[in-house]
Amino acid sequence: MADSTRRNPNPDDLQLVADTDTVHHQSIQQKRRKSKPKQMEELNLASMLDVCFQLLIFFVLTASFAKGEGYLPADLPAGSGSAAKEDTVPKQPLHIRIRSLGGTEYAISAGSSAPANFKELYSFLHDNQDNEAGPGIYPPDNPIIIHAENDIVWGHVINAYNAAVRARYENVNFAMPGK
Amino acid sequence: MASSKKPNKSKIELNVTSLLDVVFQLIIFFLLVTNFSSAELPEMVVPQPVEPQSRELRDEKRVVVNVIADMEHLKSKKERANPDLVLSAKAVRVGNDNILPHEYNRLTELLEAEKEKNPDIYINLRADARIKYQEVGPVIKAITMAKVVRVNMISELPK
Repeated sequence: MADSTRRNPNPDDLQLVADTDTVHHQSIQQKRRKSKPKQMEELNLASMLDVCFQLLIFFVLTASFAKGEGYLPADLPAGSGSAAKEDTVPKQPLHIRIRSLGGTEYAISAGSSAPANFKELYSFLHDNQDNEAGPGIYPPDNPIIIHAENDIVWGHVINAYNAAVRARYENVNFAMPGK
Repeated sequence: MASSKKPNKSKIELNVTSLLDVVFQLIIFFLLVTNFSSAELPEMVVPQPVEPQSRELRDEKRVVVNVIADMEHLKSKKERANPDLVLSAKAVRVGNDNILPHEYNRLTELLEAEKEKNPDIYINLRADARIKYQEVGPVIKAITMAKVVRVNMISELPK
C-alpha cells in the first residue's frame, strides 16, 4: 500500500513540496554533519583579564594628575662670581618689601604704597609704569628690588617677581634674604 | 522506560573579549596620563602666582635644581599637600645627587662642571613654594657663584 503511494504520488502533495522551497532529501553523511555541533576554537581570556585588571588597579591607584609647570626667566649677575651688591644697582630702584606676619601671612610695601596683596601690587606697578594713559614714574628698565624677610615663603617671592614681570618690568632683582 | 542518557551538559561561558578591549583602553589611558615621579622632578608644591607669566618648559641644555622641603614630620599625603605650611629645606637635588644645606659649595662645583661641559647651560630652579626664602637664597647664591647666568624659576603654568 505504501509502495503504491510512493510510486503514484498525489499531485497536490508535490505542489506543496515545491512551494516550501526546502531540500527534503539528505544523505546519511549530511545528516550526521548536521547533528554534530561545530566545535569553535576559543582562547581562554579569563587569566589575561585578571592580569589586565591588576594593571588597571595599579594605574588607577598610582596615577597623579600633575599640574603643568612653566618657568619665569631670570638672569643672575655674571662676571664677579658673587651675588649682586647693593652699590651696583642704579640710584632710584623701586623696592618691594615683603614682611612676614606669622605663618604664610604677609605685608607688602612698594615705594610709598602698601598693596594688600599681589594683585594690588601688580596694579600699583602697572599704573606707575609707561602705559596706555601715558608715561609713568617708573620706565620699564627701572630696577625693581624684591626684599623678603627670612620667614617669607618662596611662593610669595615668586608672586612678587611674577607681578613685576607681568607689569613688563625688565630689571627685577632679588635682595639676599633679610636685607 | 526511563532514558539512560544524561541530559547534555551545556557549559555557560561569559564572552570576555569586549570587556578585555575596554580594560585595554583604560590601561592605555592611565599609562599615558600617569606622571611617574622621577629623580629629576621630585613631587612638590610649586609656586602658584596670580596670573602667572610662566612659559612652557623646554628640555634642551638645562639642569634642574630642586629645593626639597623637609616633610618628614608630616605623615599623611593630605598634610604634605597643605599650601599653608612654612617649611625648611631638607636638601637640594640635582639629578640623583642630594646636596645637604651645609654643603652648597658642592652645588657650585657641580654646576661649574656642567657649565664647562656646556657653556650655554641654564638652570631650572624648582623650589617648594612653602620653603622659607632664607633657605632658597643660599641656593641662588651658590648658582650665582657657579657663574650660570640664566635661571628659570619654576611655577605653575597659567590655567
